[in-house]
Amino acid sequence: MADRSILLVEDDDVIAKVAQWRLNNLGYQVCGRAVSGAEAMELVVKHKPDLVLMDINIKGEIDGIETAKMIKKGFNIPVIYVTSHSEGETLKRARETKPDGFIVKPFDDNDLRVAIGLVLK
Amino acid sequence: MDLQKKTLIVLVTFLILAVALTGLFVTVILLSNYQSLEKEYMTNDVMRTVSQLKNDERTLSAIASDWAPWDDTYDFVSGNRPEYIERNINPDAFANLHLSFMVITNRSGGVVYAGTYDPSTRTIVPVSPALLQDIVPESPLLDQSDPRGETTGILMLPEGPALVTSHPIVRTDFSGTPQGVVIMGQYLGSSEIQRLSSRMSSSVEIQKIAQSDLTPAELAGLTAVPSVPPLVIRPVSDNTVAGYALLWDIYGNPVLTLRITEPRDLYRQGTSTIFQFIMILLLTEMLFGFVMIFFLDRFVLSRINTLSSQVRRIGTGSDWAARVKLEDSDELTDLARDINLMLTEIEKTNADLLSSEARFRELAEETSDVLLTLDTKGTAIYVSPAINRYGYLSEDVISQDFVRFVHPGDRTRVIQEFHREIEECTPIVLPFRLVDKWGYIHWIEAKISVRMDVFGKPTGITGVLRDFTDRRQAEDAIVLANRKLNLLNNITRHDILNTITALLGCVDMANATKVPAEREELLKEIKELTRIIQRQIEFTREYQSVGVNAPTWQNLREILNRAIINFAGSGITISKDIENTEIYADPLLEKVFYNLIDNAIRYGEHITTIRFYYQVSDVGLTLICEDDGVGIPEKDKESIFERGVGKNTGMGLFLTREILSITGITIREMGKAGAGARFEMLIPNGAFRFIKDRKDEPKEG
Repeated sequence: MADRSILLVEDDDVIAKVAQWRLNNLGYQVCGRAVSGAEAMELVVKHKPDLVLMDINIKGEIDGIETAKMIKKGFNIPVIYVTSHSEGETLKRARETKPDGFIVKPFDDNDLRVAIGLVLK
Repeated sequence: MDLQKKTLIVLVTFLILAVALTGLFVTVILLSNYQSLEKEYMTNDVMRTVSQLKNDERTLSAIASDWAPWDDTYDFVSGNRPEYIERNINPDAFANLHLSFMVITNRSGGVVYAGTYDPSTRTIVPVSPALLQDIVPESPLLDQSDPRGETTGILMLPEGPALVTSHPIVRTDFSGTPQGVVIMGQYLGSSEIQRLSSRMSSSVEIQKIAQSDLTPAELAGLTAVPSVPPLVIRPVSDNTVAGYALLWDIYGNPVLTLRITEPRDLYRQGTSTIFQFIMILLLTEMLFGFVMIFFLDRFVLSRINTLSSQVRRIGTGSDWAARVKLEDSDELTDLARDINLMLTEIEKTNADLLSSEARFRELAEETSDVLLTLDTKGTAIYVSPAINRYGYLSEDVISQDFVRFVHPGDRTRVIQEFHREIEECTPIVLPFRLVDKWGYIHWIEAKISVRMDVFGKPTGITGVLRDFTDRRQAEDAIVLANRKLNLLNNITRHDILNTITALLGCVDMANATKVPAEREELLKEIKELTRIIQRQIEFTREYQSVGVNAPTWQNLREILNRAIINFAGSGITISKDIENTEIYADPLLEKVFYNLIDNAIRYGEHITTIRFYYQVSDVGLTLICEDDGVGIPEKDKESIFERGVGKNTGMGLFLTREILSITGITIREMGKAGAGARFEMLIPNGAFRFIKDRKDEPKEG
């Protein structure tokens, strides 16, 4: 499992630190962290991760949903959304991109393990 | 121009034309007739004169016919009677017979006697050699072929023209062979011409053709037909007319012109008659005209004037109850009666109209809606008194461009819709903001339809303006409430959950670590995250109050003073260069200024001064907050207004923009990084006002 790399897209430093700590504990390698859509695309090209953990509300011109669309279309890399939205227009938009999974904030190790495990099994 | 003047002008013109045309016609016709008559008379006189000359020729011929067929003459020429000359030819014979010369030739043409009578000496003198040169064998004067024949006519001699006649010399009984000719002549000298003039009662002249005053064309006309001598009759002046005839010599050549002149009595009489006729005609027509005008004026024109002035007086005074009066009984009195019938109808219709107008005016003036009529340029033609509720009198609005009462932010749209309405002619409902006399803003819904003339051409619009400010405020409040609800939802469900995610993670990490220092660091972070959650909840309380209370007019200086006083101990110089101005804003306006000052002090680093001042432009009043701190980097100038961006709560400038946006005020950062921050708040026209020393309480629009 340690050979599976995950790209973390999260603009909040504390949440990014916590997510990275949890992923490491679960045995995944965090190949990089991006705070915007543009940065995420650069790191995807660079590291070719096995999975992208994508926050929907990120910095920059394009949000997490638009970034996920480009990653899935260009690189066919699975994307799991991490969001605090459990309903509404944002979630509807996210669902239209046919994501590989949803993790709702606040999350713990188990939430991550189940969601990532389903995608990477 | 009134009817009397027109009639007078027409009549006078007609009379002048009638006299002129009649005069011209009469002049042309009569004068032509007089001229023809004059020519006829002159022709007769010329013919008579020519005839008189012929008579003289015949008389001379008759005298010669006594002398030529005479035995004594016959014998004398035959050489048998030598005493013949002495016994018969003497000065008395010349004088009695009015002869000028006499020549007797023998059979071969030799002259056997020739003598000329000199009346001055009463003697017989030799004939002129020129006369003898015409007595040659081929001369018609020596023609002896017919014993009863003769040759009579004019002979041109150097001393002047002369009537001559030649008869063959035969026996008294015309027997015997002609033995020669007797030639007698009579000079046409001045005495003969004078005698002729006396007999003809005209001035007679005989001229050589070369000396004639006839034109070559006239001369050619006269010589064209020698057998029937034509005449030329022409006036030589207004007083004299001349007639010409041509005279031929014995050789058949035209040698003389006979010219007689006479005074133009007939012509003068004619012109005098015409002038008298025209004058009589003029006087008659003038008299007729005056009589006609007099009676026309008395029976028609003056009465029409009377009727017209009565109708005008009624129309001017709108006295529809009055009636016209006219004396007599004719067509005009019938007209007056018809006018009175019409006035009766007008009186009734007018009463109905006034009643109807009163009803509609009452309806228009009592309704709470404003009724408005504009022309095609947007100028107000009518506005109902309901406009008074906005501080304007109808007179203030009428003749004004109505768009000046519209909120500046809506003017372009209103003008575009107005012109579209005029072009498309479809009724529309147009919402816009109206600024009242005191600067308050009212939401108006205008139902507009196009007015057209009888040809279907738009002449303007008619509108019903309904104030829906209350409804609009309620709608705005609902929109605002929805926006706030969504935002609060996001904060509670997103921001706080985000923070809790981090907080729970930090708790797990603290539990998992075995390093005391790391655990202590994580606990500090947990504490900070908890405070963030606290601030987020506090923000929801502050934000909840945005837009709860209706915007009010607030005195800028007073609000700034209240905000500044919180930073009295900061050591920062805060100045304000603000006139006594009020702006229409959310009651949380003080929080805006507090946040701006707090941000400047918190992040300006080496800040020493904050300055508030404003600038006025076409679009509104720009309130500026400027400091001398580090300023805002170019890349952050817009993001600093986003929620959650910032070094503290990340809510201050977001909340500032939200509060200002309630009344359409925008804010942006226009400072230069490194030289200080500069926040510009644009307050649109209609949302600010300058006041004098009045301190009005904030009012609702």
